[in-house]
Amino acid sequence: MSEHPSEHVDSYVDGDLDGTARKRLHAHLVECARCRRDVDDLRALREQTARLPVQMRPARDLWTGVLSRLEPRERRAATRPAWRGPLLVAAVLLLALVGIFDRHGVRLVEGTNVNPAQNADVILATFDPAEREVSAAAADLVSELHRRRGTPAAQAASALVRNLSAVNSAIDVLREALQANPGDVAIVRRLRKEYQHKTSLI
Amino acid sequence: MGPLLNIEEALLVRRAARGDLAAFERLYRTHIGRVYAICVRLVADPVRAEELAQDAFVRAWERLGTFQGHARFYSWLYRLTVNVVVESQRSQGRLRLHEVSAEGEDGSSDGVPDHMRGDSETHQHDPGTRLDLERAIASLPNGARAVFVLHDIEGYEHHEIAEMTGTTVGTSKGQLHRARRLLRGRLER
Repeated sequence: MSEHPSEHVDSYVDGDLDGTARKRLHAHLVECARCRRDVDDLRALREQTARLPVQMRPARDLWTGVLSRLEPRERRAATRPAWRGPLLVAAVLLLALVGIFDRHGVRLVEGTNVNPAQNADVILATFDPAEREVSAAAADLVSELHRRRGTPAAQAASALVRNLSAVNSAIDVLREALQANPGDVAIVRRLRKEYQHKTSLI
Repeated sequence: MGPLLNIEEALLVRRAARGDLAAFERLYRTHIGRVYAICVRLVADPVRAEELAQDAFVRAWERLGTFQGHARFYSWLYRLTVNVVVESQRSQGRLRLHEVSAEGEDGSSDGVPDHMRGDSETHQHDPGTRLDLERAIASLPNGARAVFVLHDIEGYEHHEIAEMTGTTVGTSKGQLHRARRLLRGRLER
């Protein structure tokens, strides 16, 4: 071992030294104040580094650029039909207008009627009435939005379509997850949160 | 957007692999922060980092069919991101790990971009010290910075870094030692 084995000090701090080398370095540290200071400094640097954030926000949203470069898959079985986005926003807007969410959705998603111990189908069924009622009336609203296309109201609805489409996609995934893992409380909580998100968008 | 449940992520990956763009967007929204952080720390250039982050997601889309699901999706994605950055750096002659030159000689960058700030939700401790460290990391020579970011921030082992960057374990250790020595010196100034 050299007089000041600084590279070994790195491995020592990282816990990478094997038994013999570790013992030899330990013996050296007892005698060498400089290397002890190196160990302290390296540990301090490691602690400082460990506190760095693991995420950073880019200055702009990069999704549009990514999306423009994605090649469609040959099989698009899982992709929603194009008409479904407007249908969903229409459905939810109508839902708000007639207060169906007050009567079914909100009350249910607040959790009073949801028991995670129940069968997945039973839990999922508690979310269904609101969805069913609005689906029946949605077609009329889609026609109305189509008639008003180009107006500010329709443009605002278009933004809502995008947001709600994302929420509905998340809900779809969570419903599938709950079917695969009935009784998973974390999934039920997430599902409830997504439904709450849906109502907050309105 | 909160963290995904394991099964939720697995289902999103499966849907995205079948062509579901909404599912892929959700994966993007969940992981863009980490992917961008890897890129910007490795290249110390926010504009290039944005391009590379986009490249990483495009490649992920193209290769989702090869994801086996044995590992978690995020570890597959982050490793793919590192590969994208390393390939790009190499093709532009910016990553020469074997050359352990004098301080700053192999193309170090000056300072850290102003917007290089982590999410306030994930880090609020001593922002002055943290930015000093970010700036010091960004100013490291490319090879030393790459190994420091991969080992000390991203948590890869030396043998993994050697594999990803096409070098040896010894070179990786040497570059890490050099990076830490330079950082200690720069933070003491």
